[in-house]
Amino acid sequence: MINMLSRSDKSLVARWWWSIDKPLFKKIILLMFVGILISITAPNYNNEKVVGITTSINKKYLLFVLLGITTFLFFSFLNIKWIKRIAIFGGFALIITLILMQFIGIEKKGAIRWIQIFGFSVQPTEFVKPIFATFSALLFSAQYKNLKIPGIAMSFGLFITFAILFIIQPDMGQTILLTAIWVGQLFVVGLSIQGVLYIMLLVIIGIITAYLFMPHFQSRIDSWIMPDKNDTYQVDKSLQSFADGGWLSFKWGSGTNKYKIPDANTDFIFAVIGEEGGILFCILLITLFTFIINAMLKQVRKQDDLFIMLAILGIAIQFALQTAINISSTIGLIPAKGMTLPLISAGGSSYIGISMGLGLIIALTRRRDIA
Amino acid sequence: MQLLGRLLNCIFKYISKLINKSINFDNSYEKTLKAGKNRSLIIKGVVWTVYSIISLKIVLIGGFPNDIYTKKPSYAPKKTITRESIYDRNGTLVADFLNSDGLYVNPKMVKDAKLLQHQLLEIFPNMNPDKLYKKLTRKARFVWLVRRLTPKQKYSVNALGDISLNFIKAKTRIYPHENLMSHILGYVNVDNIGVSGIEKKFDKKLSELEKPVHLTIDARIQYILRSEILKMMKLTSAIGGTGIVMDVTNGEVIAMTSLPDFDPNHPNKGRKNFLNKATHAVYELGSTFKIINSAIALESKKVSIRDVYDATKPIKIGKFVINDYHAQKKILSVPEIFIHSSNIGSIKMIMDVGTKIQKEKMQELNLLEPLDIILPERAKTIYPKYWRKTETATISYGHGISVSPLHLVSAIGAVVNGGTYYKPLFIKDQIAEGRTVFSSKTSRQVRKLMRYNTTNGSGKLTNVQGYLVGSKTGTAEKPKNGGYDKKALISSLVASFPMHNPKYIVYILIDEPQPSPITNNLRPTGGWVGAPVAAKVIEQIAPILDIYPVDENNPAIKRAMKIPPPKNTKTKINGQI
Repeated sequence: MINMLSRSDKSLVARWWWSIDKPLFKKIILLMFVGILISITAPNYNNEKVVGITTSINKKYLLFVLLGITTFLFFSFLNIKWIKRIAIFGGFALIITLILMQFIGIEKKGAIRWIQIFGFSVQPTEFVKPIFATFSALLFSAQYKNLKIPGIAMSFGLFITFAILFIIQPDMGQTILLTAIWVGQLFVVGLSIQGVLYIMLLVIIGIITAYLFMPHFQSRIDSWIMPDKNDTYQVDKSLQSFADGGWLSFKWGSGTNKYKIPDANTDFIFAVIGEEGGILFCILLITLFTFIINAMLKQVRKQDDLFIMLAILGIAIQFALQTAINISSTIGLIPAKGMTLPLISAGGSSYIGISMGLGLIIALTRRRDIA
Repeated sequence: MQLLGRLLNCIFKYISKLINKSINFDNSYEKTLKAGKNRSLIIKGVVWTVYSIISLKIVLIGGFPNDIYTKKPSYAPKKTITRESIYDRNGTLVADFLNSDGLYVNPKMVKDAKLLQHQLLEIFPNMNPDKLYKKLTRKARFVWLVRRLTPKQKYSVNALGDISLNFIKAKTRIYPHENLMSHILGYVNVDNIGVSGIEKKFDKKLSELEKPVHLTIDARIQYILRSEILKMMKLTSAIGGTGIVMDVTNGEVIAMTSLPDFDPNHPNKGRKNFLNKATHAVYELGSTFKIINSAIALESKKVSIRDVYDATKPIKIGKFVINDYHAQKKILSVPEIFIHSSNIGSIKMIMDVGTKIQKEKMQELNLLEPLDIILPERAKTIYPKYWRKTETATISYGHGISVSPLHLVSAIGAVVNGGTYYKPLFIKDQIAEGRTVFSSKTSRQVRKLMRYNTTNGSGKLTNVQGYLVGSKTGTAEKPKNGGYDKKALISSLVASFPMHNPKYIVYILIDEPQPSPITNNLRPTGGWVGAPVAAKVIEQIAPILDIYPVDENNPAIKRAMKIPPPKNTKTKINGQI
């Protein structure tokens, strides 16, 4: 690819190639590649006795991966103007979708989080996160570019709207992510220490309220604090899975705990990786995630435009926190929280949503002098 | 609505103010940008810290398996459950533990359900084709097809090579004799944990201590007893039957059956037959109690075997009039009372003894206490709270007290074996501890009565040449709506042999027999339906049990079985109590 495109080439693809953050781009592609490999061996919907890889790849997952990569590349080609348009348009479209979902959505396990589109269950929440991060960044930067626009207040309004729509689903995990994105952006534009303390207080009150009024949330916390008195089957099996894997393991596809762990191919996929790949592989994977986050944060410091800086930061926070929550749940570090591992867990909406965010980052970090 | 709008507006303004206060707006665009870059370093620091903690925790869980995370018992690997065998008294295997695979299907992997249905039906011809097809097409990833495969079936399924079929390795309790000892052995649940019988009682011994259990039961005798009772049940269209063979010299139960029974290999199919009617059910067993009544009377020395009683008129007790079924309407001696099963005579005998002694002896024979056996299925007896004259009278002929068949058999064992009560035993090589209840003289006299009943009384059909069988029949009506149901009988028979030196008791109970050709279409009493079964059982088991036939005309035996002539005339009780 590098040899094919000359620097003097002025085509769209060539200009794109020479302007993007290539180390970040390559790391994301590497993570996607690892994700595909794991998705072939790890999930439990494949019968272990089927011989031959072709029959064991889940066709649905393959479709998501293709769609995800397309989304990633498509968004990485966008220019700033279009990103802003998509953020504003997408933001309002998603608010309407989430309101409609309360009436036409599908209820699974006591929550309305999905809508049916072309035979697929789509989870709009997954697309909200990158769109919100961009839209919010736009509003923040507007305040500083023109002090007459109450950008921060507007962004707060946007945040509260989405947060309420998340809580009524209910989906506490995504609400936490959304809060983290907004507070992170607020912090970077200069929230005072006093403000940080106020927000921490609000978060604590929020958690206590959720504990008192949401039985589902309460039982998760209870079984984390007092594992002896509660049903901790999922986490126990997950921990057992890491212990079975040991330092070095090369049991790709032949792990046994995945048949016992509920949600082994989505929220608890890291446990399967632990058993089939071993601890060292887990550490390598975490390192890859950390490098990607690092590269994103490095870009944050390079930018001279407040909108671009905050948008990258928002998406980076989402990516970092989602990964951290997923892995921490799997290893029992925090109460079990349903959240997918970016680009590795099965789940189409999540995969495409994450790809969209990463594509936006590539687009936002393009060098303007070349592009 | 307006108020709410204002309130929201107010809150919004306050929050805006708070945020504006918290953020320094004096900073210009460039200054904010610069400060933001520095602040993003704090976020970077947080990310690195969090990810380091996560990595450390993973290393602790997976890298050091002896760490506390893996010591938690809930996910420690479970020890494979084993279960030792159970043997009968001769070492015949009656419960085994074998590897057996279970077969399940993953319907998501089924390509051609019709074809697979056809292939499976060839291996399992007993399967219901429609149900099988439904299983193969169900929306699931796991559907059980067969819980236990034979090695041959497993081979055939494997030969199909269908990827949707899978095996699960399992260990299964196998009872090779199927129904033979169902109520004694009990059964285990799908997790191989004992649910009833010996399996429950010795659950820990069999599975944790891994020690086998040896029973006192003899599989051969158990088979004879069970099949003979089944035959009689069929001939008389009875709803059930119970049988016990006990060694009277130590209380060992040699055979015990409760019919209909169940196959412990498939306990769910026999759910309604779980009740062990020999040990867990109580009945008013009727006239067989007259053995105990006679023994109590003779032991008290207030009644002699040579006494006679006036049985010409029915006895009135309170509101009830008690009559004899085989009414003789004459003066009867004690042996005649026994063989004619006279209720009037029995009442008059016990009235001479008194309530106190009757109750004491019943207590010593364990007839008032729950059955003292190792099986978990133990019956509690039902006896009157206020035990006075009326109750004493009815209990003398086996009514107004409900005990299990095994209660009665162990009590009669004490009467015939020389007077020592042994509790029923089911486990081999246990030391039998007896307690003396009757004198050997009493025992000798009752043995004469029982033999006399076989030669001259209601138990004629129990006679087996050479084995000196003694017997007593009992025919009780089942209680119904506060009275008794004349059609629903509990017809039973106690036999013991050989009467000059008793070794075994055979007890037969037929539940609700109907008049039939074998009873000459007469009332199916214990003498008609119980006695022939006992005779057939004794005939077959005596040689197995090393009992040799004797010459019944041998003078010594004749002397031992001789009934002394009546002497005294007791007519002081004249029908009124």
